[in-house]
Amino acid sequence: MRRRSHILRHLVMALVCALMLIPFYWVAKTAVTNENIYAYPPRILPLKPHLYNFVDVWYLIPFARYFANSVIVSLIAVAGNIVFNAAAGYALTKNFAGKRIVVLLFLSCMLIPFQATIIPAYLVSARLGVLNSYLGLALPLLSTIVCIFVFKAAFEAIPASLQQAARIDGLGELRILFRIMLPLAKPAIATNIILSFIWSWNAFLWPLIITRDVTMQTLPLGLARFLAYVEDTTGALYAFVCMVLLPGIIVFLMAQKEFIRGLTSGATKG
Amino acid sequence: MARLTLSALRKSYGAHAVVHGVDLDVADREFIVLVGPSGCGKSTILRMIAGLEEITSGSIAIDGRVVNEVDPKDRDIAMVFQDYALYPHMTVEQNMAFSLRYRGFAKAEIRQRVAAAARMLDIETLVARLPRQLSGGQRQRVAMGRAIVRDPKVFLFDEPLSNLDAKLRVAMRTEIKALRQRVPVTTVYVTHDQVEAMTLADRIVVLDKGTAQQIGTPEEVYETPASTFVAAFMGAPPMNLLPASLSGEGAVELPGGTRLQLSGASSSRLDRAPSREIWFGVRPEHLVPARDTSKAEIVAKARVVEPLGSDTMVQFDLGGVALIARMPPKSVRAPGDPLAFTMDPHDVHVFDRASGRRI
Amino acid sequence: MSTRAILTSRFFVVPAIAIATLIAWNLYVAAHAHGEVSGKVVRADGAPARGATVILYERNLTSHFLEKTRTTTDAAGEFRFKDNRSHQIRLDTIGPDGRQGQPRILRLWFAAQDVDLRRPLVVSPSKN
Repeated sequence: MRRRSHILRHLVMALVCALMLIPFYWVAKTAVTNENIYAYPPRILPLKPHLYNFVDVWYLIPFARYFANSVIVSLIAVAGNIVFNAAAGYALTKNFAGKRIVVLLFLSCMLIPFQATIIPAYLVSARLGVLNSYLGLALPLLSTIVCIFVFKAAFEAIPASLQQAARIDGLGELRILFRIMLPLAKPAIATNIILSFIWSWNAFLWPLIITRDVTMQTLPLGLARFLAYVEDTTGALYAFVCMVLLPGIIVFLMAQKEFIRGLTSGATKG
Repeated sequence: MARLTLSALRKSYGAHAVVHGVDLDVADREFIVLVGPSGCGKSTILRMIAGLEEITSGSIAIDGRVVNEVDPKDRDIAMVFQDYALYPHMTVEQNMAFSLRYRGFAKAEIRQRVAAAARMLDIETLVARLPRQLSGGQRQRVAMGRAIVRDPKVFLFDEPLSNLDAKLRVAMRTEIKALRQRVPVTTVYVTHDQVEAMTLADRIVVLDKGTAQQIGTPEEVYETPASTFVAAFMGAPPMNLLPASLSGEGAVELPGGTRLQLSGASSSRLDRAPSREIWFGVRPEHLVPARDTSKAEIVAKARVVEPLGSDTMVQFDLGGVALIARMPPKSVRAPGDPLAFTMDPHDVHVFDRASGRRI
Repeated sequence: MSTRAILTSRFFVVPAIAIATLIAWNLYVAAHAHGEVSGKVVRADGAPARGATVILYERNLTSHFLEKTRTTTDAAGEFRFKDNRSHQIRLDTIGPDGRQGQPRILRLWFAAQDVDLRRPLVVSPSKN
């Protein structure tokens, strides 16, 4: 009886999963055919699937270049997120004068949409001379407030005696952070990697504004360019979407276990 | 090898004072136990010695050097924490070697020291394991090993046995004692368990509400408690304390009308009592069963009988005050049995009623 | 973390496999990207079409095919291009008699992939 309800529950969950995956399936299906997405009745299974759409995408735009740009920018953003967010989150676990104000500032800054800060961000980048560079592309994504609080919650869950033991053992604060706290906050690191990777990978508006050269563009910009150049390329367009999505999906699948743990522990503690 | 000196050490959090001026001189290689109930400030004192808490006023000196403003890492101390504070992501070996790596020791030296400590603590087979793969007692050993490899001037223990079950606690206590003979280092050990204090200490500091009630050897603390607090805290079961009054010439009047004549030194001390109102104290084992009931100083009826095998604990009432006596096994069988005790005048304690200080 | 643990973690293994695949693919491409397109032209009855013209079109960004080069078949009806640079080409044939054959679109796995047509091109298809 119990076993049957177990199976039933899994069946329902599998069904819901399948429902969620339909859009992904549809994109993949269209990518391997050239079917019109408005065709009626819709075809469930692809007719004569082939992978040549992907080849087309590769050669119609400088895909490798855009991909490399996206990877470099995302790596900078991810590295920056881990280092800066961890440092900020660790600082917030300590008591210092004005901590409440800092936290309040962080929280209120979360309410400001990025679009509202895009002009000052551009001016700052211009003054720093990082326009049209990888660093400039990654700059606004180098630290995110949500992830600072993810780290703060993770660090607060680590017994204080470990920090004290490390202080007696002769470590400075930076070393405590990188040798003791970070290795014990893996779920928070995974959360940071995934979130910052997805954000920088999908960023469109900021790269659009800050890049001047075609060679500095990232994949989302490439997608826009692709759409502008090529008409009647349903298959190629969907193939392109698949190629843009794939790295993000792979990163998520690799880190998902820690990711989910990180999000939930952040939810209950922070 | 070092001396540790605390002078007029105070700690307060805002207006709330938790340590009210503690003076303590720890000799080289001495084992000091700070004991007291929770909230007495013992852990705070230890953490101030470690440098984990700021000192509000007073000073701490190690080997004559005042370390108030010195970083924990530069005080040359090692600490064993209540929860052991082993780094969960490092093996036993890495945990023990960790501090040495940051103190510029050569690799060979580190390996040799860790191996020596592991051998001493009998954890050689565990060096490759992670802390979560160890039992409570093994973690305890690793925590001590981590302190030993440092070869520090002062060892600090913060209730190291309180996370262990009763049986293991006794075993580890014995081991700490044995280890102490092989590694004689100046040690400050914090506990709330008076048995640990009695068994381990060279000298005990009994703390209550942030002040040192008494500093002395286990014998001194046990045999001549400085106050009713110390008398009640040290010893299990605790000392019997009865409200009594002095009736002159070394005589004490106990509740229920019993008169007790103290002689010799004790009686002359009584003349210095600030008031006639006193606490009269006698330890359960110093209530001696009287052979001759007519000569007994206390006569009562047993209320509760608790046979422990080696002894039998008997509770009885005297003038409305509950007392407890440690008696030979099988000497009393059931509640209601008659009891008669005598007391040696040298084994009784008299405290001022108002201040609780020993007279 | 030990080296072994790092090497066996999926954060290392997955990128390593991806990079290895990439390198292998690029080696394969490098070895097979001479731009050689060869094949055979036959008549409707299956006999080799000698002297037929084969025109190579390359596809450009705006989805049009542009003529790149042309050649003529030899006595065995065989032809060979050596300078295809595209990943999507069209081959047109004109028989010696001037009749056009069925054009064939070839989609390749990578630009300048070497191809040898298994199915010969047919000129003057019979219209029974």
